[in-house]
Formats: sequence, C-alpha cells, structure tokens
Amino acid sequence: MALQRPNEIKLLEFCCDIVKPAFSGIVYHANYLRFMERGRTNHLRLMGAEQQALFAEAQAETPGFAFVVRSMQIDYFKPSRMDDVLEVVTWPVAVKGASITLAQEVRRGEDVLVRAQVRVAFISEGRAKPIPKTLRTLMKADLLS
Amino acid sequence: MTASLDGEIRDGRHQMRVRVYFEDTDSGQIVYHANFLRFMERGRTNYLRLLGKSQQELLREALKDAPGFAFVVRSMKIDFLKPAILDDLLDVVTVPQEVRGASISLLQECRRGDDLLVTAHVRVAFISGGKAQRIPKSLRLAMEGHT
Repeated sequence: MALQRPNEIKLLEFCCDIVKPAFSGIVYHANYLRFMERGRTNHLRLMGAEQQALFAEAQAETPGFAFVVRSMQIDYFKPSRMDDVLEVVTWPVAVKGASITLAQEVRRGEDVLVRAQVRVAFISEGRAKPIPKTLRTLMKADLLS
Repeated sequence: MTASLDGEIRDGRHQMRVRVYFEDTDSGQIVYHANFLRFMERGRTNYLRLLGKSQQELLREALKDAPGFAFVVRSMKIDFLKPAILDDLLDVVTVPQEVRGASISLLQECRRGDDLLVTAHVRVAFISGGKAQRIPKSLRLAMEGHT
C-alpha cells in the first residue's frame, strides 16, 4: 500500500465480502463503524509513518496515547452488499485543544453510502488530556481550508 | 418463558438488560464503541416485539398493509459519555420521539445503574417490498400511544 502525502485525503479500500451480511444480503448498519474505525486508524498510522519525528515527540509527551470516540453523527444513504468494494475516506474538519472531528464517507464508486462526523478525544495513560501541540499541528495540516 | 429476555414496556418506555461479555470488549477491558449499536438494536427489536404482543390486532393489520416489512436505520446521533466494562449489566432504554409519515425517531440510552453511558437519537425508515413506505397507521398509533 503506497504511502500518501499527509495533505491528501486518506483512502482505504475494502472488499465487502469479509463482512457477513444478514439474510437480506445488505451490510449491517453497525459494521460501517468498524470500517470507519479502520479508516481513522490507518489515517493516523500513515501520518505517523510520514512524520515520525513529530509522532515520537507526541509519544514522549503523552505515552501510550489513543483516541476514543466521543460522539458520532452518521447518515445511511444507500446499502452495500456482499462483494462490494468500498472506499473509506477520512479527513479532519475540526482540530481543537482536546478533541478532533473527522469527516468520513463510505463510498462505492461514485455513490456515497454512508457519511459520518466523528468527534474523538485524546486519552493518555487512561485519562482525557489536551492533544499535544505536535499532533494538533499534524492534523491541522490536513484541514481543508 | 422469554418474557424477561425481551424486556418490558412501562410508561411508554421500553427497557431491557444487556450483560457485557468478553466478545463485546477490547481484550476484556472496555466495550468497543460500535457494539453499543448492537445493544440498541436489540432494544428496538424487542420494543417492536412487545408492541406486537400487546397490540396483536394492530400488528396483524400492519402486516396485511405491508407484507414483509422491516425497519432500516437512516441516521443516528450518538454520544459516548462513559465506557462500559466487562461484566457490566446495562439497561437499554428505548423511547419513541416522533412518528412521521415515513420514519420513526427514537431516543435510546445505555445505562449502568444511575450512570448514563451512551445516548442516541435514531431515525428508522419503514421498508416494504424493498422500498421506503409510509408507516402503517396501525403501527403509528401503537407507537404514538407512547410518545
């Protein structure tokens, strides 16, 4: 998987047949949250790979950091089915002191199937903390102005 | 026999209990966020099931109007306030908010005792014959009795 520049939108492709749809053949609504989590995780992973020094700084400041989902707004427009190949697109829309809001879309070709806004908070050593400046700067670089 | 499994409707609110198992958690610690949607689905499903039991006539009518009907989730606004952990006994509460022509809005909560863990506003549409349809009057009346 080729690394992308940090200011490009992160794309991730899935083949939908790894999911087990219900008898109707369509993907269960809660499963999209798992796909979108992979999008967010890989977004962070690629950012870390590209900006190792800055990430190392963030790790030093706040060891064992993780993001937890605080709230989501999710709209289900169209269903997807077994064998669909989906794209999960993730981009930051707000970067605050203690939380980041990401927009995510699950697409099948031209169709947007699901759209979500996800607010994540920053946890380090099991507690909510302000996001280290280094990480905030990284995320802000991806904000579409 | 399955009475307690399906929870109960009281004062227009449906309530059921869900136990957190290992499979619901991140390696035995906190419940993975997407799993709350599965718990809340059980709440909606059992609410409908119990509505059907107490309003058997009404549901039979609905089936006549719209054979093979199902509800699909159209949108959700969820807030994850506090985590749930392994072995927690949760209360899933489901309350109808609004029943409009083709969709129903529900408020759902996952509680652990007095602690409110997750709240969600869920909008579901009514599908029959593979297309969105108006909520059958009988079903609407059964739910509106609770709003």
